[in-house]
Amino acid sequence: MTQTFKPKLAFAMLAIVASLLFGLAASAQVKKTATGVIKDPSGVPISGATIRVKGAKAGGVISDDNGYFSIKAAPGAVLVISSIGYEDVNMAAGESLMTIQLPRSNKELSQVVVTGFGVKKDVRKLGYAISSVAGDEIAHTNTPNPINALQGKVPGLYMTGVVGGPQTSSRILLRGISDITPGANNQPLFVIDGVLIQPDVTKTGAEYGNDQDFGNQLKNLNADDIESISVLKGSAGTALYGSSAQNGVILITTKKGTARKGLGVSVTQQFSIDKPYGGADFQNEFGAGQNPAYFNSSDLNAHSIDSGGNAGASGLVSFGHKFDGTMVTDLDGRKVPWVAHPHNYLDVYRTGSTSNTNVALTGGDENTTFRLSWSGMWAKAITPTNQFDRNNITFRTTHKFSSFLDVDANVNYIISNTNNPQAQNSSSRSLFNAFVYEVPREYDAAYYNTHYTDPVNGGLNLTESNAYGNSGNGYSLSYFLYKLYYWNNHLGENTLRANVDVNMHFTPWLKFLMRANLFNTYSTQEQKFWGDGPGFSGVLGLSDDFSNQYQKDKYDFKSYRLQGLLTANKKLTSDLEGTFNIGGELYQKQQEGEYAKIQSLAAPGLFQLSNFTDITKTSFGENPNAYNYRNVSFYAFGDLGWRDLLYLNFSERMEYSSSLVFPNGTGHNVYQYPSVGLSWLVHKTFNLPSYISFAKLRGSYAQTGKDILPWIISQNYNAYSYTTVSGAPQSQVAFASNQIIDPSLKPQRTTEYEVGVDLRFLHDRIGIDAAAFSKTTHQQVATKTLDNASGAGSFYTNLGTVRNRGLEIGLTLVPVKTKDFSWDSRINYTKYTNKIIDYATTSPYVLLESQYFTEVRAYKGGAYGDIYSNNALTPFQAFDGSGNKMADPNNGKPVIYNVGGYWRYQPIKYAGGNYDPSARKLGNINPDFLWSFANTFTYKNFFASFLVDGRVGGKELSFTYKYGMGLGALKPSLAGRDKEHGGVAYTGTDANGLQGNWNDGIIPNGVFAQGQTTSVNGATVQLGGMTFADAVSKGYVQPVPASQYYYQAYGSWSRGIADLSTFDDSWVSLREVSVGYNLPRSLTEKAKIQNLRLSLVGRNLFYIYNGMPAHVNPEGIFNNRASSAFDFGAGPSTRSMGVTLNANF
Amino acid sequence: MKKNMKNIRYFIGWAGAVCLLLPSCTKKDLAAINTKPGILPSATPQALFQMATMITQNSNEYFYDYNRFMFPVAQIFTNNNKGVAINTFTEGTSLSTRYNDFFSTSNDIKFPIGVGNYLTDAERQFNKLPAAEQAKKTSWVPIFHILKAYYAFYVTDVYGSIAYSQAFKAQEGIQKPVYDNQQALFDTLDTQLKAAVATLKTAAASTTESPLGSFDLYYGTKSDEVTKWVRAANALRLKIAMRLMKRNPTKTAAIANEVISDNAGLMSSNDDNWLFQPANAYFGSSGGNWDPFSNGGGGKGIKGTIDYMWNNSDPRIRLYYQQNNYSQDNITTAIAAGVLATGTTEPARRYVGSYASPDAANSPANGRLESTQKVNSNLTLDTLSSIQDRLISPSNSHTPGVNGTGSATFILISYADVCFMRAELAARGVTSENAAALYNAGIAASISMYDGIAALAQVYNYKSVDPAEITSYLSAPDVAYNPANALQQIIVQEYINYFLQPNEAWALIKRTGMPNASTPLVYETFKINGSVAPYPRRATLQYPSQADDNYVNEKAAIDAMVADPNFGVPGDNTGRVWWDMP
Repeated sequence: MTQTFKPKLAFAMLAIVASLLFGLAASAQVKKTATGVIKDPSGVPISGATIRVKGAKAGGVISDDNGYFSIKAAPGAVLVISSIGYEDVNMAAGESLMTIQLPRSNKELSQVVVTGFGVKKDVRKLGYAISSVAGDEIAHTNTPNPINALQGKVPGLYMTGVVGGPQTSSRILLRGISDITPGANNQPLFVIDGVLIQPDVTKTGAEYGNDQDFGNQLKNLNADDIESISVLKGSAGTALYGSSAQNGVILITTKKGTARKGLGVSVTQQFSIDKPYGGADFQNEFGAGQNPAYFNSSDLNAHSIDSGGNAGASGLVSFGHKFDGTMVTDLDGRKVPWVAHPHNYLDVYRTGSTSNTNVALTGGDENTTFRLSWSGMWAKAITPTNQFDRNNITFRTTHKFSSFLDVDANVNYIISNTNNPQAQNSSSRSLFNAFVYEVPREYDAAYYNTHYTDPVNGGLNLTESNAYGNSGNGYSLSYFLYKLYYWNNHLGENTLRANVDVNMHFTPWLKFLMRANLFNTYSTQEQKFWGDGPGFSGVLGLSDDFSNQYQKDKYDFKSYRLQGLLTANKKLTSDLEGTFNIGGELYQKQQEGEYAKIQSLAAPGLFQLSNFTDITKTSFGENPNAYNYRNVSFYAFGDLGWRDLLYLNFSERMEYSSSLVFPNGTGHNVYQYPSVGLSWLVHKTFNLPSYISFAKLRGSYAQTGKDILPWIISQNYNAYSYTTVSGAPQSQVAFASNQIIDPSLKPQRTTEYEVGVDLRFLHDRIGIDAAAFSKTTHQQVATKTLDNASGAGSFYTNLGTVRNRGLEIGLTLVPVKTKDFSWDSRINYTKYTNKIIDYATTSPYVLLESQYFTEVRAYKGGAYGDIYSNNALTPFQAFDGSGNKMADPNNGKPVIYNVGGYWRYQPIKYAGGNYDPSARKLGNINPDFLWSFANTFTYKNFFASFLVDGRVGGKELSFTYKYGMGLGALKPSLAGRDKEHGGVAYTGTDANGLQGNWNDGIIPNGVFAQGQTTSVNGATVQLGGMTFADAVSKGYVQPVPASQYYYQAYGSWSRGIADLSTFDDSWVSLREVSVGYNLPRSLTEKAKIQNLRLSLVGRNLFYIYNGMPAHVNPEGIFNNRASSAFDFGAGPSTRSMGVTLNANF
Repeated sequence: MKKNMKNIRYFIGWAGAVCLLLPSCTKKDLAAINTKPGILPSATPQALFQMATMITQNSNEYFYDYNRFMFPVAQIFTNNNKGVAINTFTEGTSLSTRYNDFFSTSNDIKFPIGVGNYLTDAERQFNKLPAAEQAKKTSWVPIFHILKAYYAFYVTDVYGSIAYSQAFKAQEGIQKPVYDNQQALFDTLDTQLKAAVATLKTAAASTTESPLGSFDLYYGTKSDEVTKWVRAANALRLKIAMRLMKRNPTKTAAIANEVISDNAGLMSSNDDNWLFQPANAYFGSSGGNWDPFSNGGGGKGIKGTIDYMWNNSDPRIRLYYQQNNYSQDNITTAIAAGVLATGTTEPARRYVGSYASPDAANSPANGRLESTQKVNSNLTLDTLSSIQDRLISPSNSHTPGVNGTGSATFILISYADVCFMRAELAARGVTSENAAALYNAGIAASISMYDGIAALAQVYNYKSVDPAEITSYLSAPDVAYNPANALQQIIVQEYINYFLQPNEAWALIKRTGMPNASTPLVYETFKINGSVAPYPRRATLQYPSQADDNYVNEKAAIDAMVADPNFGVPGDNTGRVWWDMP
């Protein structure tokens, strides 16, 4: 059995580790222990400062989270305390606890960052851009999925929130889109203490269906344990990770224990509330119906007002009678006033909350340290029944056995539970969508939120559901609510993440690292659906066959990584120093799983797999997305420094990948990725003016790649049972794939050039770090559609090139810095452009997304993410008698034509010709640029910060707006409904086909299509080329009744105009505001508390600017695919506000 | 520096070479990791052939192409409560299901399709067998070829040019197959069938031959399985020859005489019928796509055929149609409900067909015939006879809640068909056989075949056919062989025999123009709003998209067909394919 992980190497590694642990003993000299606490000038503890005994070659310690350290030192020895950004301080080791205050440094900032393979390096030496974020910047936001809090904090990082609940996953892109395959994962690789994690593209599927976003593995990270996050944007920084690194790498380093006196205890309690404060602007003037002028039911039963079916509108339209307080009969017979319920869409939501408790114990001496941390997080989402909770336990220890051997090991166990993520498509489970699509403004959500079930029989309340929607099709709010409360979808994940690093120091300059890690997620998803029929039976089956169903899916994901790395670090000559590493690794990941599903529960609500009645509605089997993958690689990398002026970084990685090996053992599965970078410290080379405190130029060239998904190329035949001619089951075979694979298939290859500059002025008060890159991905792996007559549906091959170019700028400012007050500012700018140089298919474009006649495409020569629609407006063009185009003042105005007796804008697909060529471009999904502006203020023990971020340009098609307008739910659809709202008076037929004098007329701004005619007093009048307004003034046509106008222009499934719902998705968000206070030690000391800090933080407070109309949520896309361009009932805008209390003992 | 880099790469290369010795990155090991468990590395040719057989019949094709289009157009039954729906002519069908059945590459686990692909792969896998194995199975590949030729013929019959010679060879590197025009394709198929017959005859005589047996769902249970295939292949050759009658009469004569002279190779009884009779509930499931009533009504017999059968006492009338529901019991109920006048009694004739033409069916003059009377919520009296729907959808229920347990029969080519083709050729003077004898044999064979099919399907009120009924029918006024009118008589009987083969009935009408409005069996002229509806003759085709990978060949195929003015524009299904000459 070769599918399983080869244990040989693992045992070999373990044997080595064990022998080192137990076979070697360390000897230690007896020295006294000095302890102390290190603080900055304002009294804030400094963690991570280095303390060493002057003159000693080794044995330094690092201060802990609270600034404490302890170190063995001979009496009278001098301690050297250093920390980045501060002046070094020398102090004699004292007997009692020392308090050491470090003055801030005015010298050049020597910033150490974590680079590839977790190696810490001085940024001066790097030939490529890297950004770093401290763990606390994430932790203090109390964001359940900590990675979501990175938004706006890193230049070059493009994140888009997806509003599916606290477990949701953002769309994360670094330097554009490299893989244009539809649905391809373009998200960066995450490396957490050496464990490789590729976050999934979460499936919140298509316009139909019931997909919910359970988030990806990133939701299981615990912010409290994060020490720092390094964002490696460019290939030169990521080439060491080879085939996993095409989209950049985000390195996360977790916290360690530190040597200190006694046990350090840190307790943090966070609590925040999430408040939905608004969604789209709904209108609250008109109720259900087609014509505001009348009720058409004599008994004033509000809900018998036109259900909309007559005029072809689906669902309930809100163009009816004006709310006037008249008493009407509601569905259940109650007499209620005819009024709007303006907050009915908020009434079904609730105030969410997030609570997070962290307790961390740290301790150690210079030989052994540990940190034990527990975090319990509990998040209640604004959508009822949506919950996410997580418990993380982390233990990390370091031990120095001898000057030769030390070990750093950590283990994390994470249990998380996700309940009912908010559905976000037009399916019958998307709650917000219901308010723009399904229910009128008089709907009393607060009342029906408790009256949607049948109180006598159980199951759905049919009276209400039939009346508030098209009978029996499931489109009613009761059905939404029923699904919300009676359909439970739960994902439980148990994750183990463990890593051990064994360092062997052969000589002071030569060491060997062996690293072994394991990542295992075992997840169980259960879908428990109560039947919606009487007595919770499944017989009703209002819209689908999910009723009365129990499904259980189990997945087991495992990955292992074994790495060996030999590092030499030596000053070669007085001018030349160098580091050289060689190593190799084995990485394997596999997923397997199974599912069982029953759709005929014998006893409703008893969710057990044995509880079924109909075997034909029962299925089980292997989960389809199982895989197995191995990657073995060897590498050499290092850097050379010359006189602290020039640094050269280089790396080379050779890989053996399993996914490119065919079953017969052939395949191009061995390949190499090189990188080289150069850093030049200009200010040390030349005598620059004194106001330039630092000047560095850098440049790099590197290659990364992406191999294909496992098991794609190994598909021959599926076996299954087929009932044959005799009626008896017989083993049958069918093709497992209709694809043929290019035998010379290769991995994708990305080549990137980058240049950058790092300039600091006025003693680092002003800093600019800018990077420009050009990143080209060749050999796109793509599926070329073949003529079926060839015997294959598609050909899987390499063809296609995509180029991304961009600019990332980080500007840091320190406008004020005094002893008590400081103000730090940071401005980030991110821009990239994308060009499709070539692609594999013979089709004119790659189709990335498709919804309702609108597609997101990638054209050759164009950019990834162009939005094209067949339902775009048709621009008018006049022709002369011989068919030549001619000038006309009406050219370019939207064309109007007649369908089904109504005048409407003509979608371009009906303008003749072939569909595709006539689809019109509406824009591109990608932003022109992103920016953010962050400020931090400290005054004595107070601190405050705010972050504003923004997006400029890029389009989004809002289905929330499209249907909200088409069905009359949104405020802008008020225009033209009656005289007050600018409606035009006319005598004629209203939307219900009744004759009369009405004033809900709208005159579309358009021109009649050529050949359109109307009949006036029996005579045919040619309208072609005439404006609608002209025709109205001449009495040829009547204005369009408002409800018809909006339905046809926006809401119609087949003819609604995409242009009218596509907008610039530009916004400016007040992303984060926080204030805090460190209680003075004089106050806390009595309570034996060494440090107490209180802070308040607000997130996503409001949009300073929102480019979407009617306050539609501008960050409401419904999945985290790179090509995502649509929202479907995005949900209300939500802000969160929280408090954090942190105490250290 | 450059040298350094080279050295580094050299070093890594060596490390990689060392690694190859490790089990962790040998290609064999990585290949094993990259192989999905549960995937079969290979499949047997016989299993692939069986899969091809299973997917020749497709419920979607019954829903779209048969029940909605070919049955009504061939005037076998209506797709409307009365008459043929107008939209049959205005919207029609693209007849794309048969094309997709043959050419699809779908790998849907539940409903795989792609007859051509499975048959081609069956041959491909056969060719991988050891030579000694192949030598014992010389009948296999010819049989694969016969089924493939049948299906290719069936597709080209309404499509004209299709890919065949170069089709299904993507694995061999042909991603852009050239399309065969129909003339060339007919030649290719005939040659292939002729070769198959020759090989099969040798195989049938061989003592070491190991036939497909249980994997052959057509003839696998017969002791002379291989010989049966010889007869099926010859029957198919004859069928192709009939299509060529106008285009290439010389070739028709050549093939026909060659086939006829091969006496042992001709179907000689109903035991030779090329039938697919699956006892599988999947085929013909009630209320589904198979159901002739699933288009929201229809399934009524047609007046012309029913009148002819009634007038001549054709015993197949009860096998094809149900009596209308004017039973004495229902009439009594209706009288009690005041719907019918007191004293109304059961009519002597309860086999009543609908007019087929939309105008005739909707004409007020025919109102009495085409009207229904609602008695109560359970009973609506309808003068029209429904067809025996279980012939197509055997699990349809007759009494509520009780599904039929019979099974369906799909006729590929029958002995009766062969008799009628030979009779027609003789009557036309193409051959010198005895037309009368073949005509009578064909009628007798057809009646007993449908008798068997109806019994298997458990049609309503099934009563087996007495041989005396056949004898008596053979002397009925319109049926008794009359040399002066023989061709017409033969064609009428061919038409009746094609009750479950609407594609053949339709082709017969296109080829011979009979039956028609003036034959004893009246085939109505379709009229809509007073005008004759243009008669559909082929699939609706379209120009390929420029985005298609095989655009050049696809377009060339269409362009070549369009060059023939009879073909018309691709999207107009009243145009003609090559064989269908005016």
